[in-house]
Amino acid sequence: MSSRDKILNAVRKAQPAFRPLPDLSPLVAAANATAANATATAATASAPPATASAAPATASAPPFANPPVGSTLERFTRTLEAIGGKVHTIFHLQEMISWVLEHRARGQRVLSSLPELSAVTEAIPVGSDPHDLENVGLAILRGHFGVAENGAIWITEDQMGIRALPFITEHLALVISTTDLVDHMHAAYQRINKAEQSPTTRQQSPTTREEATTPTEPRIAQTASGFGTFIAGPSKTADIEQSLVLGAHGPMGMSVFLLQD
Amino acid sequence: MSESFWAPGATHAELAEAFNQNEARVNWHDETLWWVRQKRDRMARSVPEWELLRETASQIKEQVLSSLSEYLEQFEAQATLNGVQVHWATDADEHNRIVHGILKEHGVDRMVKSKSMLTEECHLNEYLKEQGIDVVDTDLGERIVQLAGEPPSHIVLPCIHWKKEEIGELFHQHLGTPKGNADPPFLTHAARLALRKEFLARRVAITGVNFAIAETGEFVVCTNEGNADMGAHLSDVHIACMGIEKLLPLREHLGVFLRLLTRSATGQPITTYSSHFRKPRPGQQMHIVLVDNGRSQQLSSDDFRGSLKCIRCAACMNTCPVYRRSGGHSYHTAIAGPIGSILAPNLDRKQYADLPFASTLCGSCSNVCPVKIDIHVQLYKWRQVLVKDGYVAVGKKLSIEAMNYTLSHPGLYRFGGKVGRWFMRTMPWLVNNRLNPWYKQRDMPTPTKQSFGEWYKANRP
Repeated sequence: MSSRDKILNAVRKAQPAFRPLPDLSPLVAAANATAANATATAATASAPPATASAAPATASAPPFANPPVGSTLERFTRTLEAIGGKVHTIFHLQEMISWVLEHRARGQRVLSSLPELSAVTEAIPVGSDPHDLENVGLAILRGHFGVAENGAIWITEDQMGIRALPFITEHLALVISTTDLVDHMHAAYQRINKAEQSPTTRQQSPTTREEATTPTEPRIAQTASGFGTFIAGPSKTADIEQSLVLGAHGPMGMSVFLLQD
Repeated sequence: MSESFWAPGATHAELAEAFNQNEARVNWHDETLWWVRQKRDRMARSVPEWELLRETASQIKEQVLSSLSEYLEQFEAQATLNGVQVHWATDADEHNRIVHGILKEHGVDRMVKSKSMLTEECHLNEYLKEQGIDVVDTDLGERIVQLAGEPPSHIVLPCIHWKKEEIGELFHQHLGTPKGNADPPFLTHAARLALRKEFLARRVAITGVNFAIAETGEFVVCTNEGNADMGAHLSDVHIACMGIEKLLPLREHLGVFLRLLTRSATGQPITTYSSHFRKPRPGQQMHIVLVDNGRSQQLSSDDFRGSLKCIRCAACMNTCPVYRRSGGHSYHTAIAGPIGSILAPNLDRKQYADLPFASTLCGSCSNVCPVKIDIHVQLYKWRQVLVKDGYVAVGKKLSIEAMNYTLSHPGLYRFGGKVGRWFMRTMPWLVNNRLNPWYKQRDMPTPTKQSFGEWYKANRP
C-alpha cells in the first residue's frame, strides 16, 4: 500500500463523527459592529481629522485601543504607523515624482509598475531572473486594498511583476486608493474571493433541475492569481532580546501612498 | 536539532534544575515571556469579538478533524491541478527521505530553510547533514541557535534564552562582527547581509506551512522577517512541509485564523507577511510534503484529538509559570511548553512520560489558547494514561496513593497537618534540607499555628 493510502486509511478510521462547519456570519456581524462603533466614537469625540499624514502614531488614541476608535482610514493609518509603516496622502500620482527623485539622488535603483512614474523609474523586467533584483533600492507597486484592523495591504503577483520584488527591494512603496480599505480580515477575504471567483460558478443555489445537474467550476477560478500576500509594514525581527529591529530580510522601510479620489 | 543535544534519559525536572542555577537569568527569562504575554492580552482586548473568534476557530478546526480524509484528498487534487507536486510521508523518516530525494534529483547539496516546527519534529537538519547537505536556517533566531549547535527553545522565539552579549560573541566567531558589539540592530544587519548571500546562492528553499486550504490547494506561510518569501521566490525548487492537520476547508477561514495567530503569538495585529502560495512561478518546481508522523494516531483518541487543533502560536508557553521558569530546553523535545507536553507523549510515551507532570495544572494555557484546546485537562489525562501504562516511577505512584489515602480520611488529614506544622515551626531543618525537593529554589513561608479549618471553627458566625 502506498503511504498516501496508508495515511488516508488511518485518518478515515480515526476521524470522529461528522460535524458541520460553523456559520461565520455572527462573527462577521460582530466585526462589522466593532468597526461601526469605532467610526461612531470618532465622530462624537471629535477625533483628529481624517488626513492620514497628519495622524502620527501617538495621536489621541493609543495604537491598539480597547475598543478601537476612529474611521476606517484613521484606524488603518494609525495601525500601519504603529507597525513601522509610513503613510502619505496624495491627490495625484505625479506628487510622488519628487519623492522618487530623492531616492534616486541617493544612487538607488528604482523600479515601478506605475505608468505615471515611468519618466523617473525603471520598468519591472517581468520574466527575468529574480536574482537580478538584488540591487533594487525602491520598488513602487499598486496594491489591491488595505485592512484597517492590522495595517496590511493585499497584493497579488500580477501587481508585483516578479514575485521576489516586494521582498528583495530595500524599500517598498505601495499605492492604494483611500476608498480601497476594508475594516477587517473577514471583509478582506470576501473581497479577494469576489475578485477571483470563477465566472461559471453559480453564486446562488440552483433553482432548476438543469442548473443543479450542470457541472460548475470550483468557486475560485483556476486562472486566479498563483501568489498573493498581505504585507503589513517593513520586514522586522525581535529575535535578539525582544528588541524590535526594522529590516530583517525584506525591506528596511515601507511607505504607503493613499490616493485621494 | 538532535536528540543528542540532550543527555539520554534526562528529565524535565533535572534539566530545569540546571537552568535554575542562574537565578538572575531565570528571572530575566520569566519577565521577558510575561511581557510577550501582556502584549498578547492588549491585542486580544482590542478585539471586542475575541471570544467569538476563538470559539469559531475552535469549531472550524474540530470540523476539519471530523472530515480530514476528505479535505486531504480535495487539497491534493486541487494542488496537483495548480501544478504542485504532492508527497505523502507516514513518519519522520519518510519525510526526510522525500526531501533528500528531491535535493538529489536536482543535484543540490546546499539549501535555505525558513522556520518549520515540523522539520524540527522530524530532525530534518541532522538527517540532511548526515547525507552531506548543508542547511542554512534563515529565521534570525533559528540561525542563532543553529550556529550555537542548539535546537530552538521556543517555537516562535527560538533564541529567547540567549542574551545579546552572547549573540554578539557568537556572531564575532561565525560572522566576523567586532568583538564586544552586542547592539541588536547592528547584529541583525550583520545577519541580514550574511543571509542575503545564501538566499541569492541557493537553488532550493524549504518552508513550513501555517495553513493550507482544501478548496484552492493553496498554502499560507506567515513570517515577520520575510525569509520564507526570500527563499521561495529566489529558488528553483520550493519544498513546503506540513503536518496533515494544517488544513482549513475554505479560503475565508483564513480570515478567522490570521486574526488570531499573531495577536496570540507576539501581540502584533498580523505578521508582516502572510503569503498565499497557490502555483509555482513559471520555470519553478513546487512540492508539498504531507506528514502524518503520529497524527492519525492522535486523531483516533477522544481525549487527545483536540491537540491537533494547535496553530503553533506559543501563547501557552508565554503564559506557563513552569515554562517561563524552566526554559524551553528542559522539555527535551522540538515543541516545548504545555502544548508540547501533550503532543510528545503520543510520539514516545517512555521518553516523554515526564512532560505532562511539568505543569501546575493552573489552566492558564487553556485560557489563552486561540483555538480553545483544553491543554491542562489533557495534561491531567496524560498523567493518568502514563501511570496506568507503567511509565511513571514507582515512588511517584506510592506517594500519590498515600496522598489519596490521607485526603480521603479527614481525621488523619487534620492530624497530619497539625504534626507537619509543628515540625516545620520547631524543627525546620527536618523539612528544609537537600532531600526535600519542595525547598529547591524556594523560600517557604513560616507555617501558621492554626489551620484554616481550625480558624473557621473558632471564628464562624
